Formats: sequence, structure tokens, C-alpha cells
Amino acid sequence: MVKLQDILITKRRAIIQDWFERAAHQYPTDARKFLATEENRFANPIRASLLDGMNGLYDRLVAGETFETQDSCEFLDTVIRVRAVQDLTAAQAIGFIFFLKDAARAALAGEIRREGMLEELLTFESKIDNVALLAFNMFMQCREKIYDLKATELRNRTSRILERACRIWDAQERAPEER
Amino acid sequence: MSLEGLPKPENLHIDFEAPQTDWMETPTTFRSGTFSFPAAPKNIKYMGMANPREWSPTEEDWKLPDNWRQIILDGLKERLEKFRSFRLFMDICVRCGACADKCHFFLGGGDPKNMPVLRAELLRSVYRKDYTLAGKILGRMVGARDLDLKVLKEWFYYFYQCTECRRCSLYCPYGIDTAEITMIGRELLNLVGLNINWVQEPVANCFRTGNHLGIPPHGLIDMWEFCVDDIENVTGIRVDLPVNRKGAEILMVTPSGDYFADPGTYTFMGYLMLFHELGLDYTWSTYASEGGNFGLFTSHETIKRLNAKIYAEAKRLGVKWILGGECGHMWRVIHQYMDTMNGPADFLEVPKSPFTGTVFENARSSKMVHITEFTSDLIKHGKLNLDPSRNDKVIATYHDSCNTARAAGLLDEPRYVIKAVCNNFYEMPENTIREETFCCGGGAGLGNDENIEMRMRGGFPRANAVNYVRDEHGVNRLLCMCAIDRATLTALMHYWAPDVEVGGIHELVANALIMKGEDERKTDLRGEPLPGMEDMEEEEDV
Repeated sequence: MVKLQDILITKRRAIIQDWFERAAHQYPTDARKFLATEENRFANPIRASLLDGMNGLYDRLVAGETFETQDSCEFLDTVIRVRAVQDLTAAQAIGFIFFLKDAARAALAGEIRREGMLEELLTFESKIDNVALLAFNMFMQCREKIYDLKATELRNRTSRILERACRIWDAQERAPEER
Repeated sequence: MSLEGLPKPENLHIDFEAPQTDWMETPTTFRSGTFSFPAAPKNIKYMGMANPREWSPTEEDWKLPDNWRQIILDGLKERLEKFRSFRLFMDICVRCGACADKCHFFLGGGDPKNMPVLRAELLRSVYRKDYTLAGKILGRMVGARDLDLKVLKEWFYYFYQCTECRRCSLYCPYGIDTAEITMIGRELLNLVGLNINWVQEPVANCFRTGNHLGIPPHGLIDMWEFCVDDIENVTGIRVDLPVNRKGAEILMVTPSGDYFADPGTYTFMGYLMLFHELGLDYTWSTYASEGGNFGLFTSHETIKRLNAKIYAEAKRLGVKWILGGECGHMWRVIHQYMDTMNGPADFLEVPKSPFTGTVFENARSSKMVHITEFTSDLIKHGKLNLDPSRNDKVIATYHDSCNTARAAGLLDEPRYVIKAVCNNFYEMPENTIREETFCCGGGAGLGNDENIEMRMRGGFPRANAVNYVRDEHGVNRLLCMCAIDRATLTALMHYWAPDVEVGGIHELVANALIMKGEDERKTDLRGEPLPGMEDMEEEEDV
């Protein structure tokens, strides 16, 4: 009997391609063509980060990995980091993960019906849901980091002046006792 | 249960798609974190510039003068007549798209209006409407449009979303400099009081007291002495601090970011130690106490007003030539504007190193030399006693600052110096360095905290390349020679690569510099134990 895993391996390239195209639709029309065509990872870092995340997730799903901790989703780090600062809502930023379900169903519909693999598909999809939840944690951490950066920036920009001012202030505070 | 019976993921009621409208039809949204706050009225007033008032980009009413449209159109006409390059840039673009995928904001965010061609088109569309026959007759069909409030707001959003890094201009077959279009765009916006505080405040401060934070002379000297104390703690040597000294051979000017905040301060200490060790006949100035020039992000007139102090101070102190510190945009001003705006500096001499006799021919006219030109020449002639192993904990890569690389061609000097003082150096990928370097995402006055998301987007292509060398070679220090970089890349690394620190070149020079009569060095300038000195530190702690 054909297993879902085997079909996922065979159709890997097509499914990831479809998944990527669905995610690329989240960017404006004028940007989409570039995202899809420029393959140099330094010239097109959004594409590279998306594909790193997608390939990473797909291969681990196919390998039957379970996703219980955030560390198990490290391959999503860069793509979530990028999407946390782009013009996307939280739902849109994480939403691309769910597009894998669409891409997989579109590619596997025939086989699933023929081979009766609905249960396997549901297990596969539940894992995707799990990853999406973990990705939401990652997204929130990025947002918190952004607010943290705002605060530290303000302090760092004038660190020397503040340090100097504090030293002077400390000296003044101590001065009466020393006298 | 069947496959058809399952709810489809796409039935989730979320609008996942981006707006698929033409750029002219796509409205500008001022989302928190992606724009800079307006200039405070006092800072506009101080410079005698237009329309000082309290306003907010997120409010409907921007409190513009009634005749704002006419002011802008008159301003456009004046600049088309004054700057031939600007007129050319308006006319000759064939929209070939060579620049389209070169802007770091586009590469990190995906907003098409950050494609340089479209950013320029924001202005060009208005130009076309009033200045070309086709535009007058055919309007939208040939990409022409009227200047209305919607367009003006779009200008404000996108012209303050360009860091004037000029990466796009490198790829333009016609040599169109989109940064110059942004500069004119900002000049026009300034005519009706549309400026950002992170530009205007340093401008006003600099005009008043000579530096971006508006620190008066006694405050500056106090801060510089603070660095002298720190150097003494590390080396046991109390270095000279010549200030406002008439008759010195050289005037040293550096960006104030070098002494206001870490990690710039370590670079500043590096200069002090180098000059002391050499016995250089030089002086700092409390008047020309800022190399940076935020006039570059405001208007040509403001560049000139702020830059004037450098030659004026050189003349007053009677120096022979000027040395400049590790700054980025400062070098665009010095290299490309200073001589014609405030020169000729015929009262100065052609810079010549007092230690090697090298004449800096490239600075024959401007009379101002970059510190890495000066130091690389010293190293080349064996004038410095260096121990690069003191920097062995540093695994470095080098970020070419946009302005020093693309505007001033300083590509090899910094690398020569770094390799002489640091044993571990790895280049980032070829298409992200030298002339093709990616911006830090915070230049041209955009390095403020309210704009942080846009900065993280814009800095992503740079961070992506840093991550590569970090993963491949274990890089832990991102070197640069620009005060804005040192501030903005620090935040960028905190977000993208928390284990990579940022620092200047002369910090490493000073760590490696063996000074006459120094105590045995136990720490670097950051107070971190030198390689092999970790145990001694612990013993002292006990």
C-alpha cells in the first residue's frame, strides 16, 4: 500500500513550488515576479528565508518528526523574523504555514481518495497546525524584541553622556560625607 | 468522511493577499514603526526654515500652508533650472528595471514603491504632468499625475524611507543617482515644513553648538577626558588631549557618535592612542566638533551651512591640513561637496604625512584625509608597532559603509588596516560588499527608534550576509567605519544575529598598538580580558 509519506517525497518539488507561489501572493504584484525568479540568496533574501523555512518544515514533516518545542522549528527562525517586521498582520505573517495544507491537498487529492489516506492526511495537517502555533510564539518573541530594541536604543545612543552624568551625580552625592 | 467534506484551509476568513493594485492606486498607510516622527517646531525655527508647527503623519490635517502646492511646484521649477543633473534624471530614465531589485528596503520588505525606479517615479510623475508635452496631453497614460495631498503624503513616506545609500545608482546604465532625487524630494518637502525630527534636531544642534547632541565646549572636553581616563586604566598611559590648539599641524574632525556612545567611544580612544603614540602635532576642536552633516538629508543649503565650520576652524587655528575620522556620510560631503560649497581651501597645504612623507594627492583640493588612508600609509611604511594577536578573540568581517565605499571609493584602505591588526578576517559574499555593499538600513536620518521596523526590514539583506559568515566562519565582530553604522548595526545585530558585536576599525588598531612605556595589557578597550589573560582577570577579582 502506498503511504502518504512516499507520495510526499515523490511530489516534494511540485508541492513546495506551489506552496511558495501561494506565499508569494502575500506580496504586491510588482514584487512577486522578482521573489519568484532571483535565486541568489544574498540578492533575494526574502525568497531564501521563505524557502529555507519551507524546505526545513517539509522535510521534517515527511521524516515524521513531531514538533513539540520551539527548538524543533529553528529552520523557521529567519522567515518568522523577517515577517515580523514586514507589512503583514500577525495572521498573515504566520498564515503562510497553513498554505502547505492547500498545496498538499491540491497535489494529493487523487491519491488520497484512491488510497484512502484521509487519516494520514489529517495527522499530517495536525502537525502543521502545531508548527503554526510554535511559529506564533516565535513571532511574538520577535515583536517583543522590537519593543525591547526601541528602549535600549534610546539609552545606548547617549550612553557615555549618561554614564558621565551619573558619575558626576554620584560624586556630588558622596561629597558631603567625604567632607 | 471524505476529503471534499473537510473545511478548506483557504476558507479561513483572513485576507491573506496583498493589494494587487497599480502603484499609483495603492494608498500609503502610516503604520507605527515604519515612519519617522516630524520635526519639533523649535528645530525648524532655529534654522529659519518653513512652517514650524506640531503635526502628525497619522492625522488627516498636516497643517500645511494654503498654497503648499504652488510652493512645491515653484520649488521644483527652481531646482530643475539650477541642477542640470536633476533635470536629466527626470528625463532619461527608460524604466529598464536594472535598479528595481537593488534597494535594501525593497529586498527586505517587498514594497514595490521602494524599488528605486518607482521611488523616483513618485516625483517624476508630477514632473511629467507639468513639464512634458506628452504628460500635459495624455496624463495617466504616460505616467503623469497631478500633485495632490495624497501624492504629497506618499512623498513624505517614501522619501523618508530612502537612506540615500546609492546602491541603485551603481546598476543604472544611465548613471541616474536616485539618492539625488531623494535629496531634491526632501528639499521640496522642507519647503512646506515636512521634515523629521531625527534629522532636524541634529541639524539645529549642530548649527548652534557644532555637534549633533548640542553639547557645549566644556561638556565635550569633559567627555573626551573621560575617554583619556579609560585609556589610562587599560594602558597606564595618560594620552595627550590637545583641544583648540592654535598652530597645530593637523585639525582632527570626527563624528560626534564617536564620543557620545559605545561602541563609537572605543574608536575615539583608538584615535587618541594612535596620535599620542605617534606624537602627532594635531588638535581637536570644540567648534568643528562634528564630522557628520545631517544637512545632506535636508537640503543643499543646509549642507553648506553646517559644513562651513570645518574650513573656518582650520583657518582660525592655522593648521596645515585636516584629518577626518571614521564616518560615512561625512565623507560624501567632504569628498563631493565641501570643496565647491565652502572652498577653495587655498589657505591650507596639500596633506602630507609627517611620518612617511606621503602626499595625499587625492586630497590635493579638499585638504582633508580619511583616517584609514592615514593609518594604512603608516602601516605600509612600518611606522606602527603592532601585535594583532591581542585581537585574536575577534573574528571579524567588514561592512563597507555606503558613503565611504560608493561615494568616496575607500575600499582597500580599511581592509589593509584590519588585516594588519586582526588575524581573523572573513569577507561577506561578493555581491554584498565593496561597491555593492548593503546599507545598514538606518542612514540618511532614519536610524531613529520609532522607525525601528523599517530599519530591521532595510537591514535584512546586510544581516543575511552577516549571518552567512557567522555560520561559515564563526564571525563575532562586524566592523565598519561610520558612526551611524555603529549605532544602527548594533540594533540590527541584536535582532538578526545577537552573537555578533559591532565595532570600529581604530578600536582594533589601538588594541594591537604596542605603545612605548605601556603597562602589560590585560584587557582590550572594552574591558574584556585579552587572549591568555582570562585567569589574571579572575585572580584580580578574587
